[in-house]
Amino acid sequence: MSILTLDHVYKSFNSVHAVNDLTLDLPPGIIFGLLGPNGAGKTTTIRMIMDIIIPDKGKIFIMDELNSQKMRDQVGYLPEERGLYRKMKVGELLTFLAELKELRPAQSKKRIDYWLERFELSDWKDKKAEELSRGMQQKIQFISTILHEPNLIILDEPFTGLDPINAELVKNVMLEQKKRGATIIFSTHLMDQVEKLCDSICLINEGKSVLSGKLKTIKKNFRRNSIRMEFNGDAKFLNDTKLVQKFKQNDIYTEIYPAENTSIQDILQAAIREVEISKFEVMEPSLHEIFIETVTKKKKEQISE
Amino acid sequence: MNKFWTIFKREYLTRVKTKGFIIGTALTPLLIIALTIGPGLLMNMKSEKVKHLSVIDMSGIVYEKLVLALDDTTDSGERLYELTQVPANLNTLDNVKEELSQSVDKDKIDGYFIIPEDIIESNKSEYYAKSVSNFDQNRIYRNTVSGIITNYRLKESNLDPEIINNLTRRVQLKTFKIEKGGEEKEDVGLSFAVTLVMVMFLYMALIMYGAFVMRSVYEEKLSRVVEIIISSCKPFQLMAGKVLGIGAVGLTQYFVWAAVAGILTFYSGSIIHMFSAGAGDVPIPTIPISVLVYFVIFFILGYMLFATLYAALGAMVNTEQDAQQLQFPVIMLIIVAFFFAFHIIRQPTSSLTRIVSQIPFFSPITMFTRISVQTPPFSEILLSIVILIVAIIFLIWLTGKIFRVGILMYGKRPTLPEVLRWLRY
Repeated sequence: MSILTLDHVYKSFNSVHAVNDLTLDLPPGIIFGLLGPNGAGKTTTIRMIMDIIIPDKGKIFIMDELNSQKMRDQVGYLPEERGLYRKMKVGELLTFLAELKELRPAQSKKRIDYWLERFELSDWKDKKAEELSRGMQQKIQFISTILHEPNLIILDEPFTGLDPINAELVKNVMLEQKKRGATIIFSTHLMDQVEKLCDSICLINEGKSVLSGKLKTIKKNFRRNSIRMEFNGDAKFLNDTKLVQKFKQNDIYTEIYPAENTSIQDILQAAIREVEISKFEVMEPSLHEIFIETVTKKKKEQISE
Repeated sequence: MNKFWTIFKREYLTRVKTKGFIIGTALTPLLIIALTIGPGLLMNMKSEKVKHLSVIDMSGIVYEKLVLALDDTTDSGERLYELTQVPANLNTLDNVKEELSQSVDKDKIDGYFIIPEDIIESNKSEYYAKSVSNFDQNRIYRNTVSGIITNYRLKESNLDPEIINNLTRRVQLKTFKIEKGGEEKEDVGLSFAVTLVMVMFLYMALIMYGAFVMRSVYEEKLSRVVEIIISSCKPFQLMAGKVLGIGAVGLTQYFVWAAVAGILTFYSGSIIHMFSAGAGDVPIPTIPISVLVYFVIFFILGYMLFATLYAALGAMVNTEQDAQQLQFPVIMLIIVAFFFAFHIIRQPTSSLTRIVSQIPFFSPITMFTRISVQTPPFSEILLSIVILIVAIIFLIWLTGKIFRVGILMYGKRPTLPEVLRWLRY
């Protein structure tokens, strides 16, 4: 079973292709990161899933069924543009939003109390939403997306505007929701959050998927690991193109990118022969690098075309 | 249906629970009470305080007659007006005036008259007091002095004032309204006032509650709550929930008011008696039940028509200023209908009346006006209701589409061609 399927989805605004032939297939129970630079089409994609925008072409399935209101009742959605009814009391507001998701007030009452307690907002239950700070409002909105225990949770930029403590809290709740069996999609451009949370990602740029799959596989396939080395002495091997593809040096360490068909062992042996090593570390490519390289590579290709 | 109900409930409860609504709903009946029994009370309230008045009568013909004419008494049988004559001539007048003015200032007397020597020719007299803004009181003084002088002139011309009064007596003209079935009912000019008040109510309600709908839509849009709502329910459910929820608020208010008004019309006579014993025949405006029923029907239909229009406008709005501008043409429609209402009151059978009472955007006000002044043939009422309902259904279909697209459009205000393109989605 797939929790969410996008089948060759297109959407353009005027002549700009916001989403261009996007295909996704999400298995249940994972945390999925939707990444991309500003204006890549992340929010447009999410809005199409929520039926706020209608795709020009292509189909969207939720739990293998064509997108419908009934299916969307099992989705929790945190929009990028946050907003609450300013004049409503927090408790009544959450009850109303839960009721819109077919959760009766009798059922939602306990859960609202639990989550308000969890997010340290119990004292604010009878206050009007407009009296809350923006961070608090965002937490209220986050609560409203998970209150009805949806199978699919879609969060558009969930961490922006939160302090580190609350960001950690939201992260933990996301992991708990995953444990409960929910699938979480979230969009962001904060790569360190993605590395900590995501099982799979899709990197989109200019409406197209440029990189997608399991995070581990992507990292493995992206490029070979680099080596970060600190040493004393004259390292002639660095200029041996059979061993080293390229290297970067700064005051503290040297970053070495091994040539093809060269193992890390080969480089270590060559290094031992020539210099005194104080530190030798194998570096995984960070998602940050992957992001920047993939996006800029795309741009270069376009220019050379 | 379920979600429609959720939205309906929210729109209704959040409004009904506000202080503004509770106060507005409670205060208006108080206002109605004041307006229905207030005039009756005032009319019957006699000034009980004895008035001390001085008279400088230089003509020598007014004072004695004035004492005879101002013969009202208080409840305890005292004279209401205590008059004293103050002698003066042209030379002493200024000094006497000053003395009397000081007496008025020190509250020794309430006021004084100056009757000049040549009053018969000049037709002029003067009255001085601290407060001269009581029209009723002024009228009494003027009529009394005027009557005395007129009678004097008649006598001088050898005419008997009593015969003259008898000959020039005014003829009464009572007006009767013929209700359905030929029933006659005495009308004391109040049915005009009642019609006007009800049409005013209708007019204000359409503008006010329509604007509520518009505000409710665009506030949701501007605060971005709408994304959550629209991803949880169908746009049509949202629109219907809003329009009907706010409409229900209006109806709630009217039923409260109607109940109070009904109780008052029934008991107002005895209520006035409670306050003042002598007040028997104060006219109380009564509204026929059929007019009340039509009022509710035309309020509901008119509200539905304008509220759907307002909802679509609200969906097109991106700033408060947009809202002001877009609202203007709709308000104009209602104002024009209101102006037609005046024409209808004056000429209830003209062909213009018949035409404008069938045009959907005007008929809630114009047809209702017709019904309350002249009761047109039932077939015409029915026709206007049918036309209205068809127009509402058409407008819901049309605005539903504008609403669906507009509510999620941010940025600049859409132009008319853009809106027309939305209709094809």
